[in-house]
Amino acid sequence: MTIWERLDRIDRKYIYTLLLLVLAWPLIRPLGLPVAVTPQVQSLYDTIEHIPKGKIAIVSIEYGVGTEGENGPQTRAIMHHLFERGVPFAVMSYGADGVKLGENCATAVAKQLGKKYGKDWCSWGLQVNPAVYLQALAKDVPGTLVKDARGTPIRKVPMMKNVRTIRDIGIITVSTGGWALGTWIQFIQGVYGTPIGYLPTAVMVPEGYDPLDAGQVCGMLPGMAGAAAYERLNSFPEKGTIGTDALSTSHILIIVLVILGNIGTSMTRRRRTGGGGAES
Amino acid sequence: VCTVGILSVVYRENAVYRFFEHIFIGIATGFGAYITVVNVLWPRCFELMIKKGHWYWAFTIVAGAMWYFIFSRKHFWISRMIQQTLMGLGAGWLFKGFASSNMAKFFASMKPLWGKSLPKAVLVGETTKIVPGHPLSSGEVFSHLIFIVVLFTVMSYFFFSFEHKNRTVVRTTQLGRFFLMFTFGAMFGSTVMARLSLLIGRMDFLIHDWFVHFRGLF
Repeated sequence: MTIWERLDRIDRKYIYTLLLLVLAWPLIRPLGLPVAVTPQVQSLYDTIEHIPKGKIAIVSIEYGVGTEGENGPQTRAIMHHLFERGVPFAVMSYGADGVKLGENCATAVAKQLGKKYGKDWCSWGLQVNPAVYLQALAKDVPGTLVKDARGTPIRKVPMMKNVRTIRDIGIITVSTGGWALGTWIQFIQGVYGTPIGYLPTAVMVPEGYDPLDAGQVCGMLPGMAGAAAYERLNSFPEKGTIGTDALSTSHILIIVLVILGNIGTSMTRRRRTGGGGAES
Repeated sequence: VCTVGILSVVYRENAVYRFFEHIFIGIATGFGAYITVVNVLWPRCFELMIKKGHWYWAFTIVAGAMWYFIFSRKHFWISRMIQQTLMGLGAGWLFKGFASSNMAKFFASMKPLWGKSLPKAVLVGETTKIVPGHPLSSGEVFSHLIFIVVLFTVMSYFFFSFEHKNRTVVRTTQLGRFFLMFTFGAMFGSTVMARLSLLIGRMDFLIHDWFVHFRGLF
């Protein structure tokens, strides 16, 4: 077997091992590669900076354990900013695991910054049937929620005392690995104009540019790179920044492997056809 | 251990992976059922019915039970009643949501090539303000031009009312296909990035949250 044929048929076990090494290296020793802040990330940051006093935020956790690695750092960065700005926020989800993941994120960030449940953040828990729920929530927040996730009547949660309708919500952020943004736009942003920040996984980013261009979302954090950019704006590098280093090194490896694979295929084909062009 | 067990499938399908996969599915299903009862059914239905005397919530049980008649050959028509009711409600909501979701995108696709940009509605505090358009820069004109060319060429590719025989139409649809390929390429690149991000998330957990407990052993 020639070297070109070997390049064309590298065993996937070697590729996976190489990938693990390339990923682990920046995680153990962060490289501190530069992170660019794109306009859509800046726009979301600016919107949160200008939330009027007295309003709260909703952090909608529409992801599961499958995309936690990507949506987690984004959500933590947003929560960090909301805490720093003194904007109380409520965590909610349409999925059972989303509730727990959101609460874990909020608890961890609150512990870092010395913030308290009930005053600085609360959990609305699991919500069902988004279309019905959002239309009811927009008109009557306490009547729709009844209780928080810990069983406390919602009117007795300190940060919820003055929250009546959707007009008391300053921003909604939607962290998702799917297309949960649609219902928020249909029943809230499109009707009441409440700003929405979109926190998608990288797979969903191309589809996020449509609502961004149409002004339906005020900003977007594209995948882990978006989380790193937001952490830079927060001046608090965390999991997103470290993860982006690993992302960059792994991308370099994949590009190199794609080039090597293509060279291997072309050279093998060339040899088979006796130095000519493509096989007929 | 669960993470390593699940990741072992990368090497090959094995019993350890199967074991942890079943554990994950079992826990996820059990947790889902528990949280639905605690967060939704109890506070919003059963508690109101039992503790606060809102007896009329019992009708929701009747409505829910109607679904199960789908298993009866004689009475399956009962399940159709609830199905049709919910389908009607769903269609109505979809129709209502369609305008608020798509009209903004429709208007955003109208991009001027000269003069001023279109006015924008911006939410300031409690009121919506109309921000007048500004004179277009050459960069914006170029960007709008690209947008319009891509929009029309891609739309022409999906126009199937007549056969694409005319040379101009064929070239336009070919260009549209190229633009679509660029989009799919970008989406594939994003998918690779997303999958790697997920692996990074697990690696980060293994290195920083799990392995840290064993540091003292080395």
